[in-house]
Amino acid sequence: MSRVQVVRPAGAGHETLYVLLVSLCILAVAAGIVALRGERHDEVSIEAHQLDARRDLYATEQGVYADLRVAFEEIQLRREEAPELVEVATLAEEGFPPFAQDASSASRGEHQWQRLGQQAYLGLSQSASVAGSFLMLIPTAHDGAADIWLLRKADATVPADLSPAALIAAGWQQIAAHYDAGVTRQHRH
Amino acid sequence: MFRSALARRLLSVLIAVALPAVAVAEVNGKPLRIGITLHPYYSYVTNIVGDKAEVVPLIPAGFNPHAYEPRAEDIRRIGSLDVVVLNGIGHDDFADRMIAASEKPQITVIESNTNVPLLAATGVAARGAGKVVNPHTFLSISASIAQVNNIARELGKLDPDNAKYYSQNARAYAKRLRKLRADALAQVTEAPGAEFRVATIHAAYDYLVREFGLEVTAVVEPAHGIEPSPSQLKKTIDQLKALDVKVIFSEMDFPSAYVETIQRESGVKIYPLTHISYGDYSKEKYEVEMKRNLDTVVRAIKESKA
Repeated sequence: MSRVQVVRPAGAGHETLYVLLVSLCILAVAAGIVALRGERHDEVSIEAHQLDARRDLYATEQGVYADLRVAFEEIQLRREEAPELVEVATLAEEGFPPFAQDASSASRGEHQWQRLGQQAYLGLSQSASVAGSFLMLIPTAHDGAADIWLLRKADATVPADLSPAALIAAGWQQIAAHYDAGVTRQHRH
Repeated sequence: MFRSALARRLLSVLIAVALPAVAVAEVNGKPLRIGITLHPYYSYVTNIVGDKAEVVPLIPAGFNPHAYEPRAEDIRRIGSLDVVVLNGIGHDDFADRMIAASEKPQITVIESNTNVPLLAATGVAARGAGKVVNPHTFLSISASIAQVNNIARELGKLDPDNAKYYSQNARAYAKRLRKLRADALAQVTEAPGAEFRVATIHAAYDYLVREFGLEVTAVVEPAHGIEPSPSQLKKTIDQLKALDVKVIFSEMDFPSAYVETIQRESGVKIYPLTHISYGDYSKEKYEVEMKRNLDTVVRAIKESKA
């Protein structure tokens, strides 16, 4: 009489299941700890009508934007000496980018700059695919901050109304820049 | 004899009484001692303060700021400072640890890049889901002027008597820097087109090439100062060919054999730029080295046309 002994597998299926369960448990515990103890670093959110200066601009636009911010400081300093906003021609003559016409302005969209009364400077892009048109609003206060807007439209014209609502309606987007000091730093001041 | 001894004693008593008064006057009217971390900031601050303040490098000349580990004597020096000017966005992270360990952990700090539009880091430094910024703002004239203005404004708050002097110096310095850029751009008669693609060895020059309206297409170096393996090198060369890169800006301070291999294999022309992070600290260093950088970029643009 022959006995057939059926040797069942040691249970590879079960083992796999147990390993899977254990790893899921570890994952769940780790996720729980991270959820409970992790620090939240909320991103600075930007509004729907805004563009992030770091992520949403072309390299050409970033260049023009950085130059505008520097020129703005000079414009503000000059207002302390003379209340009138300095002429575009004067800024260009003194070599202030982006107002000066050079190889850089040529490869960044050849903006045609003009002053809009005592309120703003407008640079209409001659090549909207390279860079949009820029509008820099000058605050009435001498120590105010620059407010810079961008319009990526081929046929941009002088905006009739410089209020934020009107600009947004006309398709202009405000450029928002935020400063993240110490992303890589351990200790904050 | 007796009278002269008495006179001498009287004199010494008088001096002893008067000296603390003199010392106090010196402390109050003492020029600021300003700490800086990197070479460009030494040039910025010395040009802003002229002879009205003292500029002290936190790390001695000859150390690589990328690989610097704070030393005890450097930390001790912070105790003698009034303010520290920082890059603050990733190029001098060692300074925080030094300040925290110093006698003056609460020392005033000037964040030079506060109002500077920053670019996202590229290459291997771009870890952290785009949150890490490119810290090399000092390699751009525009971003340098913005920083010089910031530093001058903040120093003026600490030293109101000289605020006007600082801001005048900052404007004069900014004018000179602007001229450097204008002179370089004046040599470029024809703007580089979209086909002029640029790669860099170290992810430092985005701000600089942005000044010319250019964008960095690729960063070649796997990590700062680390040589790529042959397979990485091959990948890089293939990548450069695929992207049709015309020019590579390499690192003057890190001459490497692999850079030549890339040039030989890909046929892309290589031009060395400097990071302005080595050698002695000097007032003129930034202008001298930046002029060389600008001239190199101009040469690269011109030769690509030829």
